[in-house]
Amino acid sequence: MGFRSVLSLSLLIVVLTSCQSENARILETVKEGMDATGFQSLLDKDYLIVLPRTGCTGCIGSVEEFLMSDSRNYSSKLNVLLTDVVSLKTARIKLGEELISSEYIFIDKNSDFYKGALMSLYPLIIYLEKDEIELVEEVSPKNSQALDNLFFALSE
Amino acid sequence: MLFIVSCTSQGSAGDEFLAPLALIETDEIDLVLDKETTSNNSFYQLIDTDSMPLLAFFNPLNSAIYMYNLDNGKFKKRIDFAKEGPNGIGDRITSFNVISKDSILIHSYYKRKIFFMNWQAEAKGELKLYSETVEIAPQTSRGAGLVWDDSWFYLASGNSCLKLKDFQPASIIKVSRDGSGIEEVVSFPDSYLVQNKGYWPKKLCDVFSAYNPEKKSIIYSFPLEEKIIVVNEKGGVEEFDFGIPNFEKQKGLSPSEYPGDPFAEFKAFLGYSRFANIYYDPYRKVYLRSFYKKTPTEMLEENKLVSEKSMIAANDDFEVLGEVDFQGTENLVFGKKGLYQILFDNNVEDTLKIKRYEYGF
Repeated sequence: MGFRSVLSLSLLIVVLTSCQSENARILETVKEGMDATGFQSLLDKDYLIVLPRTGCTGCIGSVEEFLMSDSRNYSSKLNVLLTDVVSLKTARIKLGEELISSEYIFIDKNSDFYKGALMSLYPLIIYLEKDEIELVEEVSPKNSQALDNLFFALSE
Repeated sequence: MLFIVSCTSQGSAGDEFLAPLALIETDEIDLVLDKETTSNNSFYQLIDTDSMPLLAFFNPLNSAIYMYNLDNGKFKKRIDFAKEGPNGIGDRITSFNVISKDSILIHSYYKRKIFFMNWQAEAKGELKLYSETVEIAPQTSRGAGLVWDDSWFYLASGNSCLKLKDFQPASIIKVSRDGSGIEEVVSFPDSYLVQNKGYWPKKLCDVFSAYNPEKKSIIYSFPLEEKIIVVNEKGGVEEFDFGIPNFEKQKGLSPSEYPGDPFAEFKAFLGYSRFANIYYDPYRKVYLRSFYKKTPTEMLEENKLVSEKSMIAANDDFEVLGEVDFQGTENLVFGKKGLYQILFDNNVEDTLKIKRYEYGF
């Protein structure tokens, strides 16, 4: 094996290891939040969206739009965690009473999830496989296709 | 019933003290909110008319300005603005100014424009806040509203102070009212220059302002700078001491300390002693400047993310009068009857609570 191949393999291992450890940190924070809130079914589906209240306004707005327009069609595969929800009234006004009362929407009113690895300026889309995190995609200006990716995954 | 909120002094044994002053809470006013409004609004303005003090605020959830009579808490008026179309003001409104019975200025951050609206929410004109050649995104905020004179609008440049080594970019710019140019007014003070490879947490780049209508001067407060910077009527820039004794000048964060996520960044920010909002009370001719003590490391480690706050008071000539222990929100407006503090309480979602204070000095 040449030097370049060894280097590439090492880099790949480093990247994979760091992704795995980041995913493990996210999972740990989610589980801590679940213990604090009693949201025991949060990881029961294939996908989890974590939507912060503040941060990248456009990114949050695009996820809110998805929630209001399409998310209901995929509620059997998807859970949504609204975190750092300081004001329930704001959530009600922005997303509508019917949506925030849906069984696949979880409201983290005391910010029990909004810490450590989940304290982000960007919405997170978590791909789950049997209670483990397979992939985490940030909805950010640098990763604007994240919602499309979710959409494709949900449509499969 | 009157009761004194506070009366403490700054400093420890051996320190020089500022005279303790008090603000006296006199009453509380409750504004009943509609189904579309919360207590978290974009900007507040007190309009002292001949018949009543009107509190106006912008509700970002429905793009409307609401007005209430502060004497009795009664709702008076609502103006609904379009976000798009010929009268559209866009999506992120960071400040407004009700100038007269038929004229409102609105700063739209995303559109980078000031809109000249009437009370029917029709656009009567607009001013572009960007230049084709200079990349800027001017800012206003609750702590730095719209200020203008006959020729210019004065705004925070939106420039970062993150890592200033050898030059200080414009912190305040002015945009000519006829749209013909943008000029620098004030740069970040020397206290923002960092040695070696240091960084400042972003929130230390915020600049706060007040306007003195009699002297036609604009007063700027920078978090890391003890002096306030005054742009006078003729455009001259002056500095005045308006700090606290023994203000601790801290260093920038080293690259290894620089936080990688917003939470860590906020904690780093709280670790700085800093100044914040500056207010001018035109009725009593008093300036108030907020000061936050750095949060002790032990508290930060326990994620207790609060800083002890006080306000320094000075007279019209910037002679410091003393210090008031005054907690709570920075949403302060001033009227003939005193200082009003608009509270933020999400447990009471259908009421906006306001406290009124009189000066005990």
